[in-house]
Amino acid sequence: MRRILLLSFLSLALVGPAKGQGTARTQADTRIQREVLKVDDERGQAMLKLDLATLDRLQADSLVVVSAKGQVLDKAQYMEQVRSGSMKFLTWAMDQRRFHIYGDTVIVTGRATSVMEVQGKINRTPRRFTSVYIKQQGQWRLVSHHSTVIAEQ
Amino acid sequence: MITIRILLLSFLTLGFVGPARAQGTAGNQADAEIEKEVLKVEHQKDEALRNRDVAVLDQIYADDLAFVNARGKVITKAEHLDEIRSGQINYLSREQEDYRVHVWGDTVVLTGREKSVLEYHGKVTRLPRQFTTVYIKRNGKWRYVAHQVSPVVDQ
Repeated sequence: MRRILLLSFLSLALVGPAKGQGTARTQADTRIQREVLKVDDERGQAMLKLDLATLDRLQADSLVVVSAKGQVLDKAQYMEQVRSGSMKFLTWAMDQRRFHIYGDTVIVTGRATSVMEVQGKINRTPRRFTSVYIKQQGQWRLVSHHSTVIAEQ
Repeated sequence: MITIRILLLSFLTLGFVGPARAQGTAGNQADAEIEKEVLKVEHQKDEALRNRDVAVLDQIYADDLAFVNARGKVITKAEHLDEIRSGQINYLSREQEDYRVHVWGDTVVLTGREKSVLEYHGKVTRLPRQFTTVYIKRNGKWRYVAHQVSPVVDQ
């Protein structure tokens, strides 16, 4: 809990308050941000540990993932990449997370610097992502994730 | 209840804003209606991009738009509109296909492939790109709240 609050504080300090809907930040938004951050971090830990049960629970059945290579994957295909080890996270790191809060839908953007092993190749290239979380029956679930390689400017 | 329906569409948008052709299984009527509404806004947005109609884009784009371009750069609504106004982004043709629409009540996730020919800061690009777009209904209107693009890399 302490860690989550700290992360929440850090992400606020780094990127400023979420301004979903263009309105002032409310207490409810702060709570939502904390909940989504927790689920996002749980998902990261599950990726590192190859904890498929947790990933299954935190990712919607109709999840749509667009990889940094522009591939479209459904939940089964994405989970298979994790299960088979063809996509492996060696570390899980992200920063510049920004939360766009629209009630029960939250859009998270950020930069991922996780070290990955993709089909046996180590990949350290920073990527920009957009994740969409939706709350259904009391649980935040990832419904969409899109990753893009950050090109050198 | 979670209701999801995937709609596959294939069409050329250059000068064409016709009825969407759905393939695959039918979802419920409410979702079908939502798909129709969102695709209508998506086509209006595309037409506005072609015509560099910043006023229309300003209405469709949420103020807090989360936009990540194909170079992995975060762009604000103001910056994006400015790129269009100034001609730094110039669509020479717009072609999109393989639309998939995921309906989550008042949130819709749209994925698809773009083969538009684009002039970006003076450079012409023809590379196919895969996109994810999120629409959310606020005060009775579908607003474009998030968009991210990735170049499609040969496997």
